[in-house]
Amino acid sequence: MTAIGPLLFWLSFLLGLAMVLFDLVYMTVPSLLVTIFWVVFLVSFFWGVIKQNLLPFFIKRLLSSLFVVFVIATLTFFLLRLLPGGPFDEEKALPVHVKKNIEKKYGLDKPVHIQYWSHISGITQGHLGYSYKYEGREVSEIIKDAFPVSFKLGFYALLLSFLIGVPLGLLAAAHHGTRWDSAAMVVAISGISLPSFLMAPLLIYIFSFGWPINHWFPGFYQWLVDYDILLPAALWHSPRHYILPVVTLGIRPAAFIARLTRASVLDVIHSDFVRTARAKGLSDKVVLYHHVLRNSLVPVLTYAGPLVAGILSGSFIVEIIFAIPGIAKYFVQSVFNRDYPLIMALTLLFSVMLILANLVVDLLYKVVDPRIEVS
Amino acid sequence: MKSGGWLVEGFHELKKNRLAWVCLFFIAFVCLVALTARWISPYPFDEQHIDHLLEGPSSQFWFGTDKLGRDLLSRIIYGARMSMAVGIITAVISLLIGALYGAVSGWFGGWIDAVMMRVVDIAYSIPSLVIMILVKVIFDSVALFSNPELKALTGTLIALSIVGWVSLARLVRGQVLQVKEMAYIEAGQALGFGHWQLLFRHVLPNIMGPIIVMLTFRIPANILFESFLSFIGLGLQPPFSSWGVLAADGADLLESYPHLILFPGAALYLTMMAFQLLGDGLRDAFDPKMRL
Amino acid sequence: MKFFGCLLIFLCLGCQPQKDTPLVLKSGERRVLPYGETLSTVITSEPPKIDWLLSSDTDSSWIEEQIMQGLVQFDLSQPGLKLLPALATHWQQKDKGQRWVFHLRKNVVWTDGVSFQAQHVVDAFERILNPASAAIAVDNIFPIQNAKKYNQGLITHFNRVGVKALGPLTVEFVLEQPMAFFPMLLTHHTTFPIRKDVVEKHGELWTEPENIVTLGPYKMIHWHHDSRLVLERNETYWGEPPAIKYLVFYMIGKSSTSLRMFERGKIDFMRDLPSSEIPRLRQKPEFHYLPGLRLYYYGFKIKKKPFDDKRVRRAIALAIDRSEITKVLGGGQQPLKSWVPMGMFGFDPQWGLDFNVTKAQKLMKEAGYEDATRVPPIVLGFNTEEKHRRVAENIQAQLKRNLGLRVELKNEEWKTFLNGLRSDSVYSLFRLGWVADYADPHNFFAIMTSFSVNNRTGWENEQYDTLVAKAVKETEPETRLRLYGKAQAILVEEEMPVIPLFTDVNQVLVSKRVTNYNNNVLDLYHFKDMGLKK
Repeated sequence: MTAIGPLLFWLSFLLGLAMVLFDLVYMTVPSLLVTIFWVVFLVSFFWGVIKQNLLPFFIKRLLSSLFVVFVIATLTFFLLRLLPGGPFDEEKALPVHVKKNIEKKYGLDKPVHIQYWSHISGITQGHLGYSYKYEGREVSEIIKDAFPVSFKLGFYALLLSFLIGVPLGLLAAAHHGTRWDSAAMVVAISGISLPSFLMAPLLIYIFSFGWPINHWFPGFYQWLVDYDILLPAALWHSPRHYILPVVTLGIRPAAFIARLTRASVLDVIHSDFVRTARAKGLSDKVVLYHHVLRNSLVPVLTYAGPLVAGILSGSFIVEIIFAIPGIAKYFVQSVFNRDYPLIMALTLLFSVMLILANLVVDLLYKVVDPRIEVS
Repeated sequence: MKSGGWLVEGFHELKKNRLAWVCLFFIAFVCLVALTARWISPYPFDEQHIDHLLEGPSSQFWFGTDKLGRDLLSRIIYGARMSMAVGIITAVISLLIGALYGAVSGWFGGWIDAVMMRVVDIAYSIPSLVIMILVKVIFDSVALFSNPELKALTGTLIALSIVGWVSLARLVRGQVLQVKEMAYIEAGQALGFGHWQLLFRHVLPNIMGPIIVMLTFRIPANILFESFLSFIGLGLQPPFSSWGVLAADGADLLESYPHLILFPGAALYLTMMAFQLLGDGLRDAFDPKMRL
Repeated sequence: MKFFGCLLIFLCLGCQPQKDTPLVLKSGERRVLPYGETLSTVITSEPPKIDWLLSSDTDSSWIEEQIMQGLVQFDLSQPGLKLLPALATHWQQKDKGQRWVFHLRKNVVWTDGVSFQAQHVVDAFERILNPASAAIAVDNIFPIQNAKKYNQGLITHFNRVGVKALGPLTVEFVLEQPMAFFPMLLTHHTTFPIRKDVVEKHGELWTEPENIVTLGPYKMIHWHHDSRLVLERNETYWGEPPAIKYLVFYMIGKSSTSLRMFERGKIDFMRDLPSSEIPRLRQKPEFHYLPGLRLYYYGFKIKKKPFDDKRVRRAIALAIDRSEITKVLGGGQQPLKSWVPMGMFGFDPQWGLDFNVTKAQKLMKEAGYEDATRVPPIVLGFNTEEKHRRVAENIQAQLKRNLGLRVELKNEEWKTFLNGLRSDSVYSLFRLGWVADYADPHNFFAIMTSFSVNNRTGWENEQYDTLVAKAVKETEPETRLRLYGKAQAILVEEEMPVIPLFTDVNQVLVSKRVTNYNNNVLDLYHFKDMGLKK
């Protein structure tokens, strides 16, 4: 019986892997697979929650989160009305009566508190409203189209960053003070130091325009072009299009995770209980993996909560440079367009994701380090 | 252990780290350049040489000129002022707010922690762009400074500080939660030390390592974020510019005018590297646990 | 090892030369758009609405002009911009140009097979003027009798508006007053006919490819929101069938990204070029430019010191060397000191103030500002864009150099900027531009009348208003020119509420495989006239 939890967890892990493969090879994921994945994942998740006696905590948090989301929606709604300029201001000024016609159509002529109540009651019934900018498109429709793209981009970037970051940080910490350490850290620091608006053009210049081959070996370059071997400079139509944006987006968190892992592993290595463990004669490897890694994951996880929410909702710069139809550019553009319903919906989406991510992080705290009492 | 003793010891420790020293000197050099910009820059930063548009490096203009024929070297020297000011000031402000907030939240725990963390969730979720536009509008209408340079900077400084403290608060809280359970803190509690005494004397010094790493990450992140803001029109007012602005302007011109991206990019890159290597050095030196 | 395996797969995927564009339609149908029959181009964002009566942005209207047509069209192959028949075959003016009768083309069918009728034209006007539609770009058709009143809700019966179907293929327009260039208005997408029944049947979703009904040279077959939009040759189009079979519009927000796509050969046609790359692009044979009917100007807030004094306004205008600005921009923009841009009827370089520093300094002295440090602070506002910033920075430097003035720049996010323009206290000087909707100078003169909502300077001048009102009614070109000359003397020599800076250019990149490309001042590009080399 006790093995069911881990079993389900590994099963959902395998299913996730299958989804990734389907996505990369066939570019679509069968909906049956997605459903099975979510069912297995949620069951294994709640199995874990119940098993660890975290259910009351979980429910308490969910209820308080509902309240948090409500506060966020309210604050955002009123902050938006404070912003200078309205959704329908354009370079050509509108005649007064035309403006009135528009305000009437969108209900903006009503008092603010009435607009607020109708919006909030709309949300509770699941209506997020129509976009002001993209007429005829429901906000939920826009999110449904754009969010999966950003999610996918973010997921791959995150995968990349953890796959690179954690081992690199461990390597550096395990060889603290040696050349390995410096080398790993210089790599990590280089990654952080290059902003993505420089990284992206640089990667495009090399992998998409074939620099310096295009200058030195024009014949070979032509061959590369003819056979379409160079990576696409933009768009999001096939796995080949994913590579450059994923690398651009993933490299900064990877570097950061590496540094954080190193710092925190070093912290733990020098703490009392590890010294005790060593004194007991346990081998370095056992100490490293059993005691150190577990404990040093805490700061990494703290960072991971906002990171996951942030990265899954995409990156404005990466999406705009690679012309990816994701949600991140709406976070910026909807504010500039004063597209109130869209901003509201995106804010809610982001806050729900953040709360879920933090909730999961706090649950994981409990699991990795049971001494911590979570509120 | 005397309070403040770890500071002196740490300083001695830091002396041994040659790389950190190099970085410290580099940062000091950049700061010096920033402070003395008026005297050392070859041209005024906004002087336009209309007959020398977009020229590459030459003996007259060492780093070449930009789209308006302005000397790029002078603009980088002046840009150092803006970038450093934004990076350091906002990082320190957000650190002070964030660390205090996170420490209090983590230390007292219980319902205080729960409420304070929900406030963090809320602050994190409200679209930062909205807040920044509002902050900018407010601080543009009340002119705090008459100096044009400071005037161009205030909105950005305040906006970044307001947005930046949140993630620091979460990190510090996480650390405090951990340290709280350590044996010596429990001993201190048993001995009847007050909350604040324990918090400031024992808890905070113990989590200095991660905080310093976070701080050194903050400075370059703020420098970058400032350029993003300027990029979308919410940052510094022209003709003033920072490295981030210069680099963002040149980023697309890699093929056409490489000097426009090479020099500001290098300045930005090296300074960010320096801050982070120094941060690592500081962390190794000032972390009391590492030398016990 | 796995990593290298993946890499290998990617490389192999890359090995098939893939120039054709695969496409999956919503119906599940798979198509491949052959490279030789497909022209790819870019729009800067998801088109907000492809509803030609309600849209007011360039991206949407560009697509609307491919899939729809008006009663008349411009002849884009000639510089003169003559009017050609389109859905109307011929038209007559009556009552000195106050009544116009249009005779419609027979045998025009919509994409669903219904034949085109006069009622479809009337329906369009009813829809755009209906207050409930809340159309934005509606003021273009206010010259029609009672159109404004109906739009204001003062009249509830549409039959009192001056648009009527006299027969199944005849439409009559009655105007508020005679207007010589009225047919020109009917080239604009806000006057294209519409199928009321289709709009009513599908509601907000009527512009989706499976619902939309059009009659232009192309029809929409695919719209992947936020990604790309595909048009196909309309086989039932009344005119000569277009040479290019497919048009793909990619939605790419950043112009440097589109430029990279163009340079990799993935895009054949592109407007909205990155302004900082222009000096390099000008060397390319694919680069085409033409000064368009586009005015770039600065306005004064004349209620704010020191610009309440017209001598100061004139001094500023005199102290700006416009050729320096165009040099800095380097994209073929033409310095402009008169109010009518180059290439437009009524353009006359004799109007306006020339660059003259000594005169400017003298005027400043006369106004009592001999000491430049005593001049009240000047705030120059503009919206965020690389080009606007460059112009503002140059003007700031010029005013410092020539008059010793300190100008503070305020680079603002678009809506904040527009909001600031409403007040008289935020900016003292601001940037704006104007693009002609139709090729008549009235477009530009109307902006500065005292009752125009687009006049944001606070300047009012009765004499100017009367001159402009007279010129609209006038049918004799010579007299119109004289009236507009007088108006310009007031506007850009005497009173100077605005400084025209330059005629902006239309810049495009056109791949070498595109044939029959015609440059035109209106920045209109109709792909039906173009072809592709094999």
